Amino acid sequence: MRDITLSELQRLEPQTADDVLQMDPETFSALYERTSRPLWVYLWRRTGDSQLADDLLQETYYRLLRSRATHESEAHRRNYLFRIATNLVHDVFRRRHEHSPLPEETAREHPSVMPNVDENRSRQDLDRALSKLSLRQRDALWLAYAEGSSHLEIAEKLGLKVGSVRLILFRARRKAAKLLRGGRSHS
Amino acid sequence: MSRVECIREQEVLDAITSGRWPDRLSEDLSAHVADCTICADLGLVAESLSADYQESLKNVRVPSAGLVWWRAELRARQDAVQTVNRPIRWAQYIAAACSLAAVVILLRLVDFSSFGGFDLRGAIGHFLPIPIVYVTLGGLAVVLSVAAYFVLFDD
Repeated sequence: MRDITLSELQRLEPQTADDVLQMDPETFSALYERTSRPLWVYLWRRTGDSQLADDLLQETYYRLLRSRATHESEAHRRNYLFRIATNLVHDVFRRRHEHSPLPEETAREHPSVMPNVDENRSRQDLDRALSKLSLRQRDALWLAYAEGSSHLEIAEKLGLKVGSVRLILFRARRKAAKLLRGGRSHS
Repeated sequence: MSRVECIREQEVLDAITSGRWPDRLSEDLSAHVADCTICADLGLVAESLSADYQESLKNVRVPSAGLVWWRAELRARQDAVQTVNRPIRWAQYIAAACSLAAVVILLRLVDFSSFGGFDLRGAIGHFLPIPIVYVTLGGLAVVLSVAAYFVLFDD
């Protein structure tokens, strides 16, 4: 039985930086500056856990860097990034066997983004409404109206057809609006 | 089937983005929203999500690009080492299994009561039929070849 030789380890070295990570540091840095904050907010608002959002952010970029997928444009790469993040969030929910983050936790967990009392109430209403929606509906609503993504972009980010996105958004909006109106009339 | 979109959705979204929703809409759009449930729902939901997003975005702290890159590089290195080690680890498991099998066979062949005059052929004939011994040895040869392949060649 033999151990790894020094030459094998040296052979491994250049692979890690240039070949295994499919981007150079400068390109990555530019992409990161443009995408990391909205991506973190997406992960945080979808999971309700700031620590988990940190971990998923790292994992998302790692998977992007390891991916050999080719991207036609910056927008395509960004969509791909959100698609990775969405899949990671769905994996988390699948592992937890639950479909909704605890609404109040979202505001509590990250003191730097703690809103004032009124905003906190709005957020709780919103969280309560979103928690009644399916994962796909929540993803689609967030991407459409928080991120401002077009139907085509949402389709790319979620791996769906544009027609399906329209229908998902319509149903999600109708349900969320009903729940929001209910929440506001109660408060 | 009832309609799922309204042609004036974009106007509603523009009003939210520019801060005109819901109080400073044009009369025309305001009248439309009052009659159109699609646009009314859209306005309510989109405004809530947009406000939540803008608020969340204000004070977000993310790690630096350099730190994320460095961690990714470290992880890639670990993964690469793991990939290189995988066949070696398998070879080790197989070798351990072969050694264990060899020890078991030897223990069955050895006649401890007459250790001084050990007769291998007699012992084989007594404990195991000859074809089984050959099949076992053949199997071991195949397993060892596979183990050697994993050790000597890359993935």
